[in-house]
Amino acid sequence: MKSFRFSKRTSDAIAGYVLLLPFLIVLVTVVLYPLIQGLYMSFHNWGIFGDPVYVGLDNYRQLWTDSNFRSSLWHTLYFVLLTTPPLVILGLLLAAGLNYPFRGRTAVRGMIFFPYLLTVSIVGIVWRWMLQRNYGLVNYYLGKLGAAPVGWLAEARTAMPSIALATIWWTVGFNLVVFLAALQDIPEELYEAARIDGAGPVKSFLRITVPLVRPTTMFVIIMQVIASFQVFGQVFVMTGGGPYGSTRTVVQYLYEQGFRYFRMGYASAIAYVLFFIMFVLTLIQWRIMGRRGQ
Amino acid sequence: MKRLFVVALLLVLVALPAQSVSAQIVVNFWNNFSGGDGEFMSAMVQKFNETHPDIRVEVSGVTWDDYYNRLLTSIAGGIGPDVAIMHTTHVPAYANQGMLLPLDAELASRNIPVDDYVESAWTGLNYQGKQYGIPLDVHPWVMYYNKDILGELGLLNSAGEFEPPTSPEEFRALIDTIHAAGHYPLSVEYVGNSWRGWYAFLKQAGGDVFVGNEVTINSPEALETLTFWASIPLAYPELVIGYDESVAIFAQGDAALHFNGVWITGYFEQIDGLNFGVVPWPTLFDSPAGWANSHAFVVPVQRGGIDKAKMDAVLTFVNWMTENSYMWALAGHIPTRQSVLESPEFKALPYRPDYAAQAETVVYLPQHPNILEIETALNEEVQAVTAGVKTPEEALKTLEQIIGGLVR
Repeated sequence: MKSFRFSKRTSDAIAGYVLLLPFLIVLVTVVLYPLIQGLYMSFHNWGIFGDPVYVGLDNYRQLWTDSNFRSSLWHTLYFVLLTTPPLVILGLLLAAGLNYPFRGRTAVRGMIFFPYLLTVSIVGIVWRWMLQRNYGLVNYYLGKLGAAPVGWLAEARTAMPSIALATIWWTVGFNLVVFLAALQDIPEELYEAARIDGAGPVKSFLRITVPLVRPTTMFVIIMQVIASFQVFGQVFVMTGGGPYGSTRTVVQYLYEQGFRYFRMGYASAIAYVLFFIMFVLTLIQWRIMGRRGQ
Repeated sequence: MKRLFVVALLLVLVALPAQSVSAQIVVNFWNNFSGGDGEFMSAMVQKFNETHPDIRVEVSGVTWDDYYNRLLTSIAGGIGPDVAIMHTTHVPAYANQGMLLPLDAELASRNIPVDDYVESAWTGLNYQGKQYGIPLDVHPWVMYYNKDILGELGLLNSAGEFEPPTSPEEFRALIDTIHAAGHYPLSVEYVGNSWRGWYAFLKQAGGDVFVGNEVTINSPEALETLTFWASIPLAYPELVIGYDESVAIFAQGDAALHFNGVWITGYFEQIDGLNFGVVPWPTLFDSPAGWANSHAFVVPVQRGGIDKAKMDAVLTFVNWMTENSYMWALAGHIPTRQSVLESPEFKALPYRPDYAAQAETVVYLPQHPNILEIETALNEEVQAVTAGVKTPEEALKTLEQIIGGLVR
């Protein structure tokens, strides 16, 4: 009997697939299957028990005229606009500042990154208490400066900015780390040359650092926007979407429609619309940032 | 041959104890009680297990926020618990989706003392002619008051107790008096579920959110009561705070009055130096009514159904729990069994008998599968009015529109 042997190339390939198999199984069952199932559900009225009813594009048509959906989209967009510029700019500035050697630098880096390790519920609860009108720390210190107490989470005007502030405190550490890594790739000689030419730190930053971390900045902005559009946890914990629904985000609306009111098909449609919006935004960002100054 | 004998002997020995254990029926019980409530509930279940060796109830407590997600997902997967706690307001939606077992036949065949239950609590769980649950407690909104502050202002009677006002004008005058004297008059979660307070007054004035599929919320009674309810936070905007803070202010002894559910009694009791009292929700309009919700025992639909022995065990458990709900009253809740409410031990408890009489006059939201969405709308519109962002007229108009879409 002729002995059966694979060629080296084939056996390498088989080994590769076998090693990938566990991950592929997880990917298919937890990511791909729900993605396709979700799309399928969005074309139905889908309850918990009972047979789903095919409704074609009705869910999407209804979303188009759903004022609650529209307002949740505005609230989410507001959140994205409030948090993305600070998180990117602050992340880069902090990284630049923490790139200079000074005593205690590691401790400061650690302190800025530490909040990122906290879970969303803890961040939400702590900030909710700090922002209380009568007993909150924020109003306490404002009072020492002579200012009147503010109901930060009690008014629509200040609620989302407060949530944005909490979010910036919570996640800027991650951008700091990413930018710090990017800064390590900039050769020291460039800065030396600039120093010799008489450039101060601001000029060095603007003329050398910013252009050279461009790919990282692009990456951070895109990831930031994608993540911010899906904001849910800290908003839900801090305000529950209030006051009077003024901070309800798209994901919270999705959650309520699906898990509180049992409209799984409608919730799936919301998810796909959100995905589509983020996809388009990402494409736009890619184009804008890719085209400028190569 | 010898080896075979030994193996057979071992098998028999292993099987023997397994036999006596398998005679015990295991009941999976899910509830959403944590903190103080959770401890009382665990103690009750433990006592049941000790006194019923043929049944073992295994409790799974999930935190309040996650509970319905988990329950929903497990029932959808056909692997729900044997018995679970559910709020009365949630029952229509779950029953409508076919997730709960109607209990009429089961109750009838087992001599469950239906008449001993407080009627409103029992019928609140009857949806479309079928009984979907057995009530464990009623938890209304009540009025807490600080004896020290009110005593200082001379507002307590000769027995050292507070007699609540009986008209909206009296109530407003009371608030103004307390505020003028430099105290925090009323702590309520205006940035939260304060709609419950308004709902009580709406029902007191004879109004309704909807009746059948007719929306009746945009009525003169609704306008009058909502205008009244909003008049206080509009006059004193610093009173507009959230739930945590409203509890904290009263607990610190800074607030004269506090509106909240009876569940917080246990917490206030533990605070040293807080000299407080409780009265039922004040009747300021025509007839008494107060907002309440209830916890009920429900039986989820399971894959493969539930056999008779298991159902016996479940109903024995539920019956015992409500019969012994004096222990649950220790957590602050009002039991739903008249026999417990009239018992000497219950009457000897502090605070609770004061508001237990309210169990007869509480009003639940009307039953509807979409009631949770209606509740959200009520919540948000009332918040907008108390924050001064909308007028009562605008809010009622919006509510009429939203609720109309949900009940028709």
